[in-house]
Amino acid sequence: MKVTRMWIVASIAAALAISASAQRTPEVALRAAMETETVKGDLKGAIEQYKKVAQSGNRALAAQALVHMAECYQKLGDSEAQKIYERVVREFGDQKDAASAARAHLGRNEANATSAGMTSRRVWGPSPAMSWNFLDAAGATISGDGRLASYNDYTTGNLAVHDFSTGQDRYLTTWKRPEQRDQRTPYPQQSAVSRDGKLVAYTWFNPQKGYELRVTSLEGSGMPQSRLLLYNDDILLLKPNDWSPDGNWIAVQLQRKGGTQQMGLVSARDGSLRVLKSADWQSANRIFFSPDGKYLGFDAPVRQSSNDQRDVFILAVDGSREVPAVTGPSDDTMMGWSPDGKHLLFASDRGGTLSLWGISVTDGRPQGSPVLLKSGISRGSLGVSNSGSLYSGIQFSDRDIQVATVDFKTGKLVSGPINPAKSFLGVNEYPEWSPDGKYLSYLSFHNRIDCSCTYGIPVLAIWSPETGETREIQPKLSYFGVPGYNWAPDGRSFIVNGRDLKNRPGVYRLDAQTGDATPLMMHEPSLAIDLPQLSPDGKRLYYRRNFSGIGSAQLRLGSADSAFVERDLASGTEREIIRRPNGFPADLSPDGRFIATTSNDESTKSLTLVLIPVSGGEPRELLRLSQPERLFGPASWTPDGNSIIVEKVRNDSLTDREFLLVPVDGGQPRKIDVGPTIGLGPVQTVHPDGKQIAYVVGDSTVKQEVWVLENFLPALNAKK
Amino acid sequence: MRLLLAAVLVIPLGLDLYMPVPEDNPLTVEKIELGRRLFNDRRLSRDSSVSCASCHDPQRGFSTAQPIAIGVLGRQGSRNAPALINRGYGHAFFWDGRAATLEEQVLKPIQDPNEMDLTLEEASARVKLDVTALSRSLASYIRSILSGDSPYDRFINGQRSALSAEQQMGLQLFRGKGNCTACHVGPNFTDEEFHNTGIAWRDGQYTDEGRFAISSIPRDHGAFKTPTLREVARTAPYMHDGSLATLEDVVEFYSQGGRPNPDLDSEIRPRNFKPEEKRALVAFLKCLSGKIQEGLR
Repeated sequence: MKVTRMWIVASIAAALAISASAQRTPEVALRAAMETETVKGDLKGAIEQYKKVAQSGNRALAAQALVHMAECYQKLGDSEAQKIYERVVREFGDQKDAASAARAHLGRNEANATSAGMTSRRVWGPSPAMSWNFLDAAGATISGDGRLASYNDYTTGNLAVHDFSTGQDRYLTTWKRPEQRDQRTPYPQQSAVSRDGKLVAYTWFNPQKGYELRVTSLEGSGMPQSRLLLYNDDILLLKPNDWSPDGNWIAVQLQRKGGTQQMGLVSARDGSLRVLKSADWQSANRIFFSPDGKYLGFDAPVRQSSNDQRDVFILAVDGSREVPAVTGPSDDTMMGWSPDGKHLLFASDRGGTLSLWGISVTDGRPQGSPVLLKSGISRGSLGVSNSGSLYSGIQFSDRDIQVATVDFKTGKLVSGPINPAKSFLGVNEYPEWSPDGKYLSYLSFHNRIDCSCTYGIPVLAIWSPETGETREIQPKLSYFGVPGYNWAPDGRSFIVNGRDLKNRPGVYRLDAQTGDATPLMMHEPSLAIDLPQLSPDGKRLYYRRNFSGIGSAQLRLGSADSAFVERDLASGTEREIIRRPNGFPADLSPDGRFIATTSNDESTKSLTLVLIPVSGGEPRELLRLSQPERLFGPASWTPDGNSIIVEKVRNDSLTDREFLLVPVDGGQPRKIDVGPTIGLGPVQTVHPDGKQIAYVVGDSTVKQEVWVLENFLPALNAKK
Repeated sequence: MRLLLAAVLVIPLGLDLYMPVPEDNPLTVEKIELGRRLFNDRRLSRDSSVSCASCHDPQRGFSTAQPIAIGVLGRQGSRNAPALINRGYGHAFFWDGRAATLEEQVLKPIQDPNEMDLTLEEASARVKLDVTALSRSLASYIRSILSGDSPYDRFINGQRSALSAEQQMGLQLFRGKGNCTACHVGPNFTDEEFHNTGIAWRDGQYTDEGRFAISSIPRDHGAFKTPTLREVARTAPYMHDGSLATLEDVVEFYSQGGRPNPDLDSEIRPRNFKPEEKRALVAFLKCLSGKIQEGLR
């Protein structure tokens, strides 16, 4: 109550201090409304008066009026109060007093929930994200008893289940490690464990064939046999999301070759597909069956033309109806259902921070207003156990940009380093100086913090050293390919490989002001392309291309044939410059005449840095390292084109690293002393002034954990 | 696979099981049957000369052979009568999207002086139904007009022999080089959005402002709603003004990149199809004809 009283006193004082001149009608109206509320006690009358003030166009008074209006609703027991507090937080953040008061009200609700005995604890991890991954997949679920979750073990390339009660893992496939695969090797992808914990449905990707949906039994102790449920040549992507409570159906999302996204049910008995609903190009993040099996709760983009806002819907599994469950300007993600099916859980930023909310559901329809349950939760739900515990995954990393001034002649640090990021620390990578040196761009993986996006669209941060300000743009893409985004020579756009909002793969020019994507070239979905760069005159596009139909991850792992290709943008004609047996790095010189790349010589156990003339001719060796030493890069040319900066790793564990400046005239390589770095592909960039270098420091491993939120149901039920 | 929607309609292969139906107008056998009779009832026009079916001929995929629809007393409208195939899945109605629901849409031709030319009161009195019942019944019937189970549907569901080699080539072009799926997407082959292809641009000006007249958004100048391609082989002539007589004409129009104008949609670019590619695209479009069902039949 203290906050509310102080707020009222402050508001009345502010209002009384205002004269009732003709120009101040909204202020007078606000005072009159407050009198109606506090003196006359006419709450409904006051609400009507506050509404008018809220529409007055004066933001300060509108924010105050809204908070008062919400308090009136609250006194009346009307759930509208919650919506208005959320609106103030969302839309009036610049009105600090009002926003603070609204947050206090919202926070008090949360505190009530927390006091009900809600607990949160980690049940798995931290582990490297590349060793297991629930979160990219958007298909993982837990068993009803909360004991098992299936996952894709990237370190072995196998499907596995993790037992939270014992900490044990069990492999369900026997396959090769990713680096041992060739470009034709199938491997498992997304999976979902049935509610009874007896079956796992998973997708099996065959690069020569496409996606299969398979199911395997967890009964017995040996290596289980899998059973093919569904294969359709027309399906480009397939993801199992959840099992029906009776185990008869698997909710899936699929993408047709024409781009259409569909949500459907696959019979666990005969593999027949029932398409429930199609969307043009964008799909759900999460789908969960209601406990009675009658409904699917899912989130979907509000508009097909953007990727920044989702709502939550309830769809009857017989297709008879769909009902919006959670709508509004916030970004909402389906998280699960309460075990009794009376509440739908969702993650939302409607309160200003990403939080867990619940809404009552009766007969597949939402009832009343959402209830805040807990702030600070990720969107990576694995579902709710039968006992009412919510399992969710989080990712975290410790990677940031450093900018330092270096004397490249001596290799010594002159000043710095400094970190340009002031927020979203630990998730920043891939720095790139703009051609004029006025800006440093980097990718900021906000989505890593809240697991907000299935495939992780990073924010493009653009930092001005002159002002110290950072501007962020959200790329209008459904997939952003890293590594290898680059500034275009015009300095007003970026060159990125990815997928547009119609899910079409290609190389795009990304407007540095708006994030709008314009295609430079489109290609078949089966091709993997990365490292796109424009020639200095902007007329030719260079990129690394894989011909086997597998993804960039395999390119990075060095398991695919790939080539560096030049494409004339006007004519569309292409020329292969070099082809290598694995995912070699390649970087175009500032004058566009050479490609710097590496060559691995197994016979001598050595690795060389070579220059290849773009127009043809013999490669020239610049540097040779013998194992265990190796290179990460070449990552960056100096702006004068006289040197290449590479990252040398001196041991197998990849922990002992240093930057080397390698002159292209054959001079001796020399160390650049900027302290410890990490190797993540192109991690350093040199300012056009030839003095400043931007690079990445921190932990090279993205980690993830699974947490369980327990005992939130009493709070949920108490608010009914 | 054929499944029941709310135990009233059979949904043919290729269409979504979920069809958006307003909560206040659930599908019933009675309303669909009543709507069917109303759809064919000439009393709903001023001189009792035309019914909805006059311009939406079931034999022509619920469209008309006239480039521009002809209403009572031989009056001519301004646009081609669109096919009423799978409109239950639609989000916007009329070529310019001026109706948001089927319930709203079905009443407008009755009132249009160039179409049926009755007031709603007159129409209501003639068929002895209140306007709400009239609207809901007609909308229910139109929701029952469905087309699926075409060779294309059978092909993408695993029957590889359902399409000829030429049709398969057409499908590849439709999805790839042709970029047709940029707008003709989904089971119903429409994004339900509005695009300027240049078809209304003649002699340096628009002959029809299209969506702009409704939205007042500049980029909507000359933009029209993407029509479904279901049953497209039966619904000639094409475009909002019926100005293209054949599918070959349509493919040629897009091969050349539409008609350049200041508001041309960015997805429309010259594709320069080879003759065999044009033939393949037409062959593919013809395989989108399936079995049309209407009412409870």
